[in-house]
Amino acid sequence: MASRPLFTERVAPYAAMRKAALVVATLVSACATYSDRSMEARHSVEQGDLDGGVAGFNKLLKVDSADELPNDWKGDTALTVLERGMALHALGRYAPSARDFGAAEKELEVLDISGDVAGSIGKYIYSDSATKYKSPPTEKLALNAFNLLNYLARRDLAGARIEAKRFSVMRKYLNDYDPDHAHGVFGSYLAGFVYEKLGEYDAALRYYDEALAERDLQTLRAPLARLAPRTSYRTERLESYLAGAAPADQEEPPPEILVIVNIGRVPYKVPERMPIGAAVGVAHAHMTGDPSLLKYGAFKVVVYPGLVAAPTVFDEATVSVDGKQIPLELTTDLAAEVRREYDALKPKIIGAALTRMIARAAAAEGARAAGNQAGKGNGVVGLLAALAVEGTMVALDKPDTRSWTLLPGRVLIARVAVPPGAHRVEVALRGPGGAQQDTAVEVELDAKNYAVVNITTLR
Amino acid sequence: MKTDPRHLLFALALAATVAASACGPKAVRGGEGTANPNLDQAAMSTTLDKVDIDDLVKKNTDNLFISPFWARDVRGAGEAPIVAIWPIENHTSEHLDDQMLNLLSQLETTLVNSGLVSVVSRERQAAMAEEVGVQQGGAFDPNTAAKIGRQIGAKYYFTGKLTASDERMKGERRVQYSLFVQVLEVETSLIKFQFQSERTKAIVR
Repeated sequence: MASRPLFTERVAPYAAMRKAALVVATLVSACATYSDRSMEARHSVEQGDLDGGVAGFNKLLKVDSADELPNDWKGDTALTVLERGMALHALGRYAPSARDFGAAEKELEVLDISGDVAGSIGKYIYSDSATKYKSPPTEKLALNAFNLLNYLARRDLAGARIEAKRFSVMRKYLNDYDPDHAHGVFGSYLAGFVYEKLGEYDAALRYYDEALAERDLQTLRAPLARLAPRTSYRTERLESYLAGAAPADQEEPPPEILVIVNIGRVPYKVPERMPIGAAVGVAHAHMTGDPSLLKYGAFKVVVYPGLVAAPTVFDEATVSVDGKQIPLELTTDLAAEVRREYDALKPKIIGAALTRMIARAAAAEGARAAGNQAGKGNGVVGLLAALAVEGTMVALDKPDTRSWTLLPGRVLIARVAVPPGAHRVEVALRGPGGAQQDTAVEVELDAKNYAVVNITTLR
Repeated sequence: MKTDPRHLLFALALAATVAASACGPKAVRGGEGTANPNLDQAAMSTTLDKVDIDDLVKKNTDNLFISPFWARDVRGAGEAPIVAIWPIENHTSEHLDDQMLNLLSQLETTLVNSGLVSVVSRERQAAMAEEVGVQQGGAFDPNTAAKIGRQIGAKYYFTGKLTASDERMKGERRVQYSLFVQVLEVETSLIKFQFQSERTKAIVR
């Protein structure tokens, strides 16, 4: 059979572009981003199938069950372990959730401290996902806060105290290096609760004061009044809270029920590909009738991660104890914090995306020149070479969609002092479109006890 | 002879598989008398490992054995005094449940092997503690300790705290551990001996 030499027939530029686009489309589909890979597990969670979500993350981690941690930690493993840990937390499986959070935190810490020169260069040359995953401040602080809750929910105050300390170390570090993002009212609030129950009242007030520095919290008024006579720790803010408070009438702190409701999820990143070259080319062709710019602009694509809101099923909650409704207070709006972090970083993200587009254009022009030379002046060879190079590079440019997608959107807290004995806690969740979920929990408290009721919807 | 390209491919695939399996992780034995005598020496994280615990306990017990308390009240006693070991509290920023057990075992072993004190088994002590409603790892309470001490006939209690100063900065995290050990007389709650040993772990770039 006579073989046909390549590039001898005349190929219309548009046909060549179509072929190249097909190749690129195939490559693009092969290069799934983090949000693509985790979509199945996330979808299960969105449907309320938390066990299905855990199974999905197990699959991604290549383990048989949630009892196992992965053997091989690479790329996004720590992030996937965080996602599974949060699904386990929502299932009330606090021990394996704590194990997952702890293991992921250690891995993320090493990634944070280690250098990433190759990744930093790669981010500006070929792919947004070239860097090692470094968790943003909101995720760092939320990790310790939710892990603290894992221990608190099991009434393990010693374990919760360790997480409170870890939270403080991280908060101080962020205060030193990234003060605009050193938030974490929820973590400070829970750390204060832990120290209060341990009888370490100075530390409890210090943490409560930290929480009050960021948000006015009415649920802290009664605890502050109870704690004030037991410690001399004061700040101006605490004094002002205590000014209008009625003096505590009990010598011993009363038993207490703490209810935490985590609803919704933070926004997450999805791949965005903005074909600015094609838009410019089409506009030029439309105005001048000359389509020549199109062959240069076909793959002038800005590849970056966009932020989208997570689907919301529940957006309202009420809490009743023994049939009487108690105030539920927004403590932390993690969704807003994640959005703020993204907005602050967006210019950098787009800047890196534009730099990569320019790097691709330069590589394509090199390929075009080489192709033209090899094709002895045949422009089609150069065009195909340029399109192939640029298209492949576009396909390999995976937008960095890595983020802790199962982080709850809002953290609400209610607390009430109760007499010793049995109590019934009811949490009612409502959402747009009539979604509703009612949970009732019976708790038994002795004179020195406390109970934590934690509801995490993840949708 | 003409070689079938499929055979060549199969041979290449086999060679690649063998090579890949040779590069995979494998279990090794380490420590004294093995091919890897220094395996335990490398720090793997900022938590306490066996080498750190050995060091912390050794520094404390070495100082205990040369203390006036040991010379006067233990060596100089007519018969070996009965001592109990109260759980050492973890006040660090690391979850060290297994390490704390190891630490207590080390301390217990060292005291037993001194041959100069009689050590109450921790199982019996734990059962006693449970009887009076004290949780494992709970805070040291001299009143409860005295109560349990009298029940088990102990003259002295060993207790202590493991604390840590944990700091983080760009490119480094450092945890400075201190093991604080105290010996208290059950009847009087007087401190007969105390010492603090230190160890630092860090992740540096």
